[in-house]
Amino acid sequence: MKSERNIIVAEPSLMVYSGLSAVVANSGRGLALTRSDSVDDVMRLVTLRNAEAVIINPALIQGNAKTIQSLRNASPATRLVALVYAFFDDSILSQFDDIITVNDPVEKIVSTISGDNTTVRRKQEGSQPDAGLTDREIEVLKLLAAGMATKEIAEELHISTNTVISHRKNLSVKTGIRSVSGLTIYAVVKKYITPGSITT
Amino acid sequence: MAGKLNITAATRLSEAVSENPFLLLLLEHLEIGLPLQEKSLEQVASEHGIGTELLLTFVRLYDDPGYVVDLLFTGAEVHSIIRYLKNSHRFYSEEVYPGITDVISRMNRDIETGEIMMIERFFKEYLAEVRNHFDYEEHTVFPYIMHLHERITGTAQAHGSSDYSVAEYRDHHDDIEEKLDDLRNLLIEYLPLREGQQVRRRLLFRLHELEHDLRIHSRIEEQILIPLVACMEDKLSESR
Repeated sequence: MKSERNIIVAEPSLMVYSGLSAVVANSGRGLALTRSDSVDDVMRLVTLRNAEAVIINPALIQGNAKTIQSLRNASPATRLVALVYAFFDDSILSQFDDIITVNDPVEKIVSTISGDNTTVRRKQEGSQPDAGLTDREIEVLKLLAAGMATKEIAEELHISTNTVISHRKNLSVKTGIRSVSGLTIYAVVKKYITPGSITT
Repeated sequence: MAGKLNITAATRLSEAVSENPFLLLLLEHLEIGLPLQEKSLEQVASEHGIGTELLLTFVRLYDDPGYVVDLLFTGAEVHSIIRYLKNSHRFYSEEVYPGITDVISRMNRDIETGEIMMIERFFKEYLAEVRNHFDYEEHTVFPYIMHLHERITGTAQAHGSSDYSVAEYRDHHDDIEEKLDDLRNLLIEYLPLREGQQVRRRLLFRLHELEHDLRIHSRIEEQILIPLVACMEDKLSESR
C-alpha cells in the first residue's frame, strides 16, 4: 500500500499494454500500472489512485481538446505522458509533459515513465516551479514576449496558426495571465527571457 | 460573494451603508450626499429623481456583483444611469488611477528591479487602454443614447439620423478587466520581492477596490444600459 508509485495507462491495444507492463515490471522501480479503457475512467482513477503519471494513447483524446486540461485540473501534480505509435499533430503532442514511442529503448521508456528527465530538466533551469508548461508552450511564450504575432510564431515554429492559438490559450489557463504584456512579465520573472531581450 | 443585505424599498438606506461601506461610492456616483437621516431607500430615490427600482437594483449589485438584473428599465432612467457612469469614470481617473500609479512609483523607487519597472510600464499601457475606452463612451456612446432619448420624448433639436447602434457598443465593449486580473495574479503569484511586502499589500488592496467598483460598472453597462438602449432603438424603428 505504501511506497507504490501508481501509473494509469489508457491504451486500447492489449498487446501494447502487455508489452509496456512487462517492461515496467522488470525495471525494479516500484511502478504499479493500472489499465484503463476510457477517458472517463482515467478521470476517475487519477484522483482515486493519486497517480504519479498518466500514460495516454493520444488517439483517445483526439477531437476532445479539453481532456488534457480537465486532467490537469483534476490532478495538477500528475505527469501526462503520450504513448505514440502513429502520427499525431504537434498541437496534440505539445500538451503532454513527455512522450514515449514504441521504438524507444527499454531504459528510455522506464526513465520517461519515472519522470527522471522531467526532474533533471527542471533542476537545470534553476527556475521556480513553473505552471506545468510544456516545452512547446515555453517556446511560444518566448516568441510572444519577443513581440512576434501569432502568424510569425507559426512560421518560425513550422506549425499552424491554430496550434499557436491553442498554445496561447493553454498558457493563459496555466498561468492565469491573459494579456501579452502580462505574459511577457511572467516570462521575465520565470527567467525564460531577460528584460534586455524585449523589443517593445 | 453572495449578497448579505436583505434590502427592500423600505429599508433605511443608512443601515445598508453601515453594513456595506462600498455603497458610499454608489451614492457618490449618483450625487447623493450624506447625511442620509432616517430616510428609506425609496425616499432617497424620489428626492434625487431616481427610480426606486433602479436604486434598489444598483444597491443589490453593490451587495453582490454577481446579482443578475431581471428588470428592463425605461428611457426615463437614462439620465441617472449615464450620470452614474460618468461620475465613476471621473472617480477612477482622478482618484483611483493616480493612487495606484503613486504606489507603483514608490515600489519602483524603493526596490528598483527590472520586474517593477515592467509592472509600471504594464500599468501605463492599461491606463492608455482605459482612457480610450472612457473617451469612446463619453464622446460617442453617451451622446448617441441621449439623442435617442430626446427623439423618443420629442425634444430632439436636429433630426440627424445616425448609423450607429448599440450592437456596435456591445462589440466594442472591450474587456478592460483582463489586464487588471493579470496585474493581480502577477503580484500575488509570481513577482519575487525580497522587500516591500507592505507596499505590495497596499497595491493589492487598491486594486481590489478598483476591481470591485469596475465589475459593478460593467454589469450596469451590460445588464441595464445596453438592453435599455436596444429597446429604445426598437421603439424608434417601429414608429418610423
